[in-house]
Amino acid sequence: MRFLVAIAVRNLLRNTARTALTGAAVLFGVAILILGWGLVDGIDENVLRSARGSYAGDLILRPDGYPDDGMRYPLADAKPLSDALRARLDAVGPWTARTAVPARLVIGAEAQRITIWGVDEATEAKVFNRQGWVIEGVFPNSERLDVALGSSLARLLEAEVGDSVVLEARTRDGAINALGYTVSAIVKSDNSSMDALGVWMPLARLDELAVLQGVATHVAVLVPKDTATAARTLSGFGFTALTLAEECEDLIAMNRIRRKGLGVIVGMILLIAGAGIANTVIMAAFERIREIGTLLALGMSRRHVSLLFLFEGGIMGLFAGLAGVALGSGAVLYFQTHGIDLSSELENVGANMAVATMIYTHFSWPPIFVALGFGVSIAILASIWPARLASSTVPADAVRAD
Amino acid sequence: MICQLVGVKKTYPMGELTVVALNGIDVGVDEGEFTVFAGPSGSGKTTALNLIGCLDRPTSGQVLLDGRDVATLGDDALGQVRARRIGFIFQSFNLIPVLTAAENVELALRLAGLDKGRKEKVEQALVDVGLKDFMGRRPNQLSGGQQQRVAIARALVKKPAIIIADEPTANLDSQNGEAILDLMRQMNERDRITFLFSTHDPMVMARARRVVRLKDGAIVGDERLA
Ligand SMILES: Nc1ncnc2c1ncn2[C@@H]1O[C@H](COP(=O)(O)OP(=O)(O)O)[C@@H](O)[C@H]1O
Ligand SMILES: [Mg+2]
Repeated sequence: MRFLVAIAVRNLLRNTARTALTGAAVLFGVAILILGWGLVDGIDENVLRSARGSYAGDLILRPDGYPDDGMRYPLADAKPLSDALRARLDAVGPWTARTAVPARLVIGAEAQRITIWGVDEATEAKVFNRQGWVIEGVFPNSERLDVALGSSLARLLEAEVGDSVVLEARTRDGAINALGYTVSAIVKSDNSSMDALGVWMPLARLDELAVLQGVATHVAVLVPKDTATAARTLSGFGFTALTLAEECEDLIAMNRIRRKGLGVIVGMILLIAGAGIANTVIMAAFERIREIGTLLALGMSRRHVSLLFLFEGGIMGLFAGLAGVALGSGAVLYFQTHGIDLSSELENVGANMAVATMIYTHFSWPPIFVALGFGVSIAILASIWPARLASSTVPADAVRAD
Repeated sequence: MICQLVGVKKTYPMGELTVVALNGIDVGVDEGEFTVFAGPSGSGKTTALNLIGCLDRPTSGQVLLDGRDVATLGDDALGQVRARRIGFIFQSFNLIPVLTAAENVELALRLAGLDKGRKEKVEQALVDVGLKDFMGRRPNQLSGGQQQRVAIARALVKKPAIIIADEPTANLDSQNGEAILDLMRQMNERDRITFLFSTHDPMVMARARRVVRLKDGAIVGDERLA
């Protein structure tokens, strides 16, 4: 048996160009499966990470009836937090309230519809540690009339730190109000829609512009564990609580479709690889018909001749698969630490969706075993029929073939 | 009698027609013979050798090996018979290109299930054919004459009942052909190894001790030389 493997290996090395070409299909199939899998797994994680770190925490509360699609932020629907709710929140974990106000930002001759996020200076940092954010300048504090601009918005308006802007908004009562501010920071928050349309300022300052009367539109809570139970204890105070998973359900569902798409693509690549391998093995069998005849004449059993070709397919599949594993997991590991920066792409499509601007792939072992298993199986399966063909020749005809 | 064809007929389908390669021949080979099947191209030499060598089955008639009808054996059993009892030398040498001279010879021992003292046997066989210094070479690093010597060593090493050689000198120049024949003849005389070979070359025929003449799939002569 070891002798058969040795012959198989040497036969593969006989025509290295052909072996490499055939193996390349398996290699790429395996690599793409692993990278794609790591990416799709990564996207799930990134969606959650981005939402958690930019606005939702582990649990997000919105006033009952307040839209949760992230497209509209009606101040009319905002509500104050009752003392009972505050008490419950204190019991659950660190929390902070925010109030979103639709507004118009004017800079020079340019104007743009934006959303102002009023943040509570006292509690904001307990929930949002701003890890992974890139902040140029100083995040605004209530001492001054400062605002922070989302990085994409700033680029669109060509705004810089130190620029003066005017914000125009309706108060909770519907009156139009406008005030001038200084841009003290430009923020890349790892949430594409907030970076594109968001302006941050302390709640105390926003109160002057929009006369909030103590209402909030969002409450983000950090819950160490059992978010679902926590969500239940927080409902019924005029606010609706969603866990992070519920909040991101649509995005995760979209990713499930991606997962299927990946399966189809990889399936097709491996199918092509299988056809290539079958073709290579058949060609080898025809080229080596006299050799096969000789092996049979010397008394090798048909089963062993067949095995020889299966080994050739299998060994090629194994090495191509291992190369694919190296390439695929190398890429996954690289992008796991370095990430893929999608911010410019997302700007180009004018993304309104709240998605992560940095995608970090996720490394895990299952895709490696699955991909390698697939690669080798395809290679062996594709060799079965040619192997049988090769081993079923009449030795008398085979030895005299020219 | 080592092997015998009894009323053997072999036909090949050729589209609508059938080609009669052997038309019911009777011939046997005894131990120690140095016999040639002689005849023009297409006379049925290869077909007859292949049947005696159990590489193919007759359309009708019997192939007897050691007195036993091989028709009762399945493909793998027949393979075992070939592996243990029959050595082959082919016109185009038919060495396994990815194996060295020594490995080619070793392969025959492995397939015959002869594992004891394999290394020594391989070495001895290659020394016997004068290739002591070429054991590690691959076929493409050997001349035609050297390749055919490896083939002889491969056939010889397992001490078969008979060595069958289909036109062993046809792909060699006359000098190399002579040398190969000398080697075969020497092994026949010294070690009483039975050889059955074929040729269409009168010079080669003259070297045999028995000449069986074939024409159009029939035996037309059978003579013993001195
Ligand atoms: N596999 C085959 N298919 C069809 N015809 C064959 C086959 N093998 C041999 N023949 C025919 O059988 C006849 C005898 O062939 P062969 O035994 O090769 O003769 P020789 O070896 O004396 O040249 C020839 O007419 C040849 O064409
Ligand atoms: Mg012939």
